[in-house]
Amino acid sequence: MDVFTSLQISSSALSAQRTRLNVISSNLANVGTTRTPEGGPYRKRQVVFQSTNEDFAQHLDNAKKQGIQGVKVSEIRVSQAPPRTVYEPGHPDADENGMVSLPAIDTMAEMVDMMNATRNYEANASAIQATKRMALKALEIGR
Amino acid sequence: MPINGLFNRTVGVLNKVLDLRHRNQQVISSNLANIDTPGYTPARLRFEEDLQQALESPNQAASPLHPNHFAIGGGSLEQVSGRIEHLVTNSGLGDQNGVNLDQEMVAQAENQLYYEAATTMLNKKLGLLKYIVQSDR
Amino acid sequence: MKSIDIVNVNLPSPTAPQKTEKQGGGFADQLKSAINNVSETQANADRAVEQLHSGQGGSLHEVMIALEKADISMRLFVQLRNKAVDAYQEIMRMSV
Repeated sequence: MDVFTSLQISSSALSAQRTRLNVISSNLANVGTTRTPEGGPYRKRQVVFQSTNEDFAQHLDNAKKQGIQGVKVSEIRVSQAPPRTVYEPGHPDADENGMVSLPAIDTMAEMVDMMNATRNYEANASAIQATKRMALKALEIGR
Repeated sequence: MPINGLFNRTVGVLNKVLDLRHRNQQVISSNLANIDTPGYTPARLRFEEDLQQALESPNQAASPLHPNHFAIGGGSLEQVSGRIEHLVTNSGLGDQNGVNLDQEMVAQAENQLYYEAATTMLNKKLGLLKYIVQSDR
Repeated sequence: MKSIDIVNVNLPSPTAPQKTEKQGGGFADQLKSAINNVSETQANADRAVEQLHSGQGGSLHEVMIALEKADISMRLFVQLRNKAVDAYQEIMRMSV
């Protein structure tokens, strides 16, 4: 039972990092989007992580529960930062002054965030490898 | 003949070590999972001092008879369960997340190494016992 | 007179039984030293394992070598015991 607790922790992290990667991809894809269903330019999305142990709490008693927590995305927050305005009179969405409101998304920051997400994804994948190896070694006792 | 007379204390120690190292892996997995969670303090399972005490003074029970007495010396081996220690870092950065990826990876590698060492040693001891039991004369 | 001397020469000397005893004692000594070796190497190996895992030092290779020594000396002892039992049974089988 405990092996699967460990695997569940790491898999919750993999899901969370993957969600983060999806959000980043969405931000990067919409870096020039001026029309959205809710009106106005696209607003940057950001994931918020929160530690949780709801998936496996029933397997652990209270004494062991401290220090063992998975993670989940508690919300995908929509940034309230004001859009950046660029002077571009020929743009279909330019207002009467020729200013276009574009999403306030910094491509470099998003790329760095993406690298971070990838690295953390790999770290959690290595945790799964370690857990699996230990379990396989335990199966070899006495063989 | 009780079968437990065949297995000496070292087999019990190795069993306990495997247990503790497994729990440590869970703690490390939790740290890695929460590497981006704001306000998370990484934890580590400390058990080596407890194990050492339990080995050095095996006859003293961990639970004293009088409620006001403190237990001195080591407890018995079965009662060693390790303590969760939170590694507080006061780096004061942004989201107060203290998880250090490099430290966690090193801790994971070390933990795994000791786990595999313990299984290998357990195998050797059990294998020797099997040889003795099976040698036909 | 001379015939008595010849007969005396042909008799086994009184020191000969002591020589065979010493040879038999040689094997018993081997067995005893093997027993001591076994208990010593086992104790060493157990102590090394416990020290390694309770954080008191010792390196992985030292512990593995100590375990292997205990293993080999135990196997040697089992083989010696088997040979001793075989020899005993062989002797018991001899018809007097």
